Amino acid sequence: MFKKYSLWLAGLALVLWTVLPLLWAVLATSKTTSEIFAGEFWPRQLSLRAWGDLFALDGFWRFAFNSLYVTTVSTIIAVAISIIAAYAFARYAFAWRHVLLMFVLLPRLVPRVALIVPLYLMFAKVGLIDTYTVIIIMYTASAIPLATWTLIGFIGAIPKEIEEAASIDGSSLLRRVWTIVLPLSIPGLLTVTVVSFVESWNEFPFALAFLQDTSMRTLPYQLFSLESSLGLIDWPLISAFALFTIIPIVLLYLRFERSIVAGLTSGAVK
Amino acid sequence: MTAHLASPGASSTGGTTLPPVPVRRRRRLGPVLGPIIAVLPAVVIVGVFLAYPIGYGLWISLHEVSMFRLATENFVGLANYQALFADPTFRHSLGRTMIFVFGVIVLGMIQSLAFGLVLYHLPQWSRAIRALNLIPFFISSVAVAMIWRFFVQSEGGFTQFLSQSVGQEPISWLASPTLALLVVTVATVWAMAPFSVLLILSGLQTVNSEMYEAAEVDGANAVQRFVHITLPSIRPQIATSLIWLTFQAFNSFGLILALTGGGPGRATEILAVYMYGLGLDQLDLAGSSAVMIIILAFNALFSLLYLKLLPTDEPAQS
Repeated sequence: MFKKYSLWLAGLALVLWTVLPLLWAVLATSKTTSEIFAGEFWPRQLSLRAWGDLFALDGFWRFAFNSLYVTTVSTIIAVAISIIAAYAFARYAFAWRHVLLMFVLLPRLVPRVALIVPLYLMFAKVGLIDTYTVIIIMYTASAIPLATWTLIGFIGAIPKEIEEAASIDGSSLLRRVWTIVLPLSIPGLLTVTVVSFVESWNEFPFALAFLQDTSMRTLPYQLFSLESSLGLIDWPLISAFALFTIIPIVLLYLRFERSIVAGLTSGAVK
Repeated sequence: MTAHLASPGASSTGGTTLPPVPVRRRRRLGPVLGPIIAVLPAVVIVGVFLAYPIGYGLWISLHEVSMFRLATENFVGLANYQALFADPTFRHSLGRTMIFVFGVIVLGMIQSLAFGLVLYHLPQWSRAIRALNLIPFFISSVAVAMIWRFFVQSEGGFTQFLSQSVGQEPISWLASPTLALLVVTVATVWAMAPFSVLLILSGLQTVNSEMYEAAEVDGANAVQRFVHITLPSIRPQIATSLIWLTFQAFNSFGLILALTGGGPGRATEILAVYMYGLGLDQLDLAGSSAVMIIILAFNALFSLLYLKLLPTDEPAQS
């Protein structure tokens, strides 16, 4: 009996630890400035003022568009490139296979922040600083290693006898991939797409280093710069902004929780 | 040389390739060139934008850099590294980084093991808690920073509410060098440890429950069972968690920049933040590249160290 209660108490601690900072931000969006500074727990009344302020913020929808644009484009390109590479890695033995595989996977162990300076010099030389192109290229490159690795696992698990049977029946490679491999690896594709999307949506160092014009900023970059553009720190507004960037990601995660968790754990331990 | 279908799983073990299965030759994609062409886009993009910059960074760190020509000039050997180690700011940053990384590892491992065990023992229908646990991991570093900055504000933070409820004056957490480092550490653990909780949990689920029953029959208590059965069984997941936490701490950037800006003073200016300021604010690209190489060296060193933790008698992927 004691054991059961202490277990639930520990579970409650876990929930509080995870939720409290988020809950504090949610409550803040309903508080007035004086309520914030008085340090009260509950807002006196529900208010959507902070959300109104957020949506009326100068350039807000532009930043939201920038984020959505670079994230969507880089995710699509990265997933397309990864699935082609993963199919070849999973199904064929060819010269240099292991070397090329290591070459694609190892950069996962390199912290991306560390690459900012050489990348800055590379892009500055060719005049690409402050373009969407740079950001899309870097988000695509960052997503490929994990996406390829995860997809190799999923494609490798499809029995190749199915493909062989289709091949004997005269179906071409492209047709086999389209009608057999792709439909069967949809869970893998989903995981990879969501994970790539989340990573690009959240990315900050590259955006900070390679974007200069205010109108080019992504949401995390603008959230970072927000405070300096306000006089007195408007915590309800900042909380609403932070929550706005979080909500789509959390919904996406909760919708595909099972496959994301399975994909993440299988990718990490290997 | 003819290409053949490799067996599934050959990618991870590298050993077991089934006898070659002949593939019908096609005109458009030759049997040898086909797969190489297919992996080429991935290899080229990763090579040019993730691998090449490492080598280029090493090259820059051994040279002087002209900001006008945006190019490296005279070869200076290790002069940039010597300048770094002679610089008290760098040494200070290195020291703060070590404290920070150590703090993240200790707190992060405590959270991972504790919550991993809790989630393992909670009944099946508590899946919701399991899903909830991972949410902070998906939040962007800047949003995590903003949420925590507000959470510990002396005016309006949850910490102010707590202080007031027990009748104390609120503390300005981010104004003290020690407390600010603590806040940054706790926020990093909050965001990153949920993933290692997941790793530990997945390890616990593979432990053979018959071993516990046998130990219980032999009269081993809960602590003994944990130390002698659980911990050795989840060694691979512990090693992976350690690598994960170290990696996240060493390369923490956005979270710290947005939470404290490296301050107060330079109290939370860990290496990645120092590197960014040196390179893109002070425009010392050569010095900044030297810091980058040092960061990479630390990452490699720690990863190798932890891999020693893995059991040697079985493949590292179990």
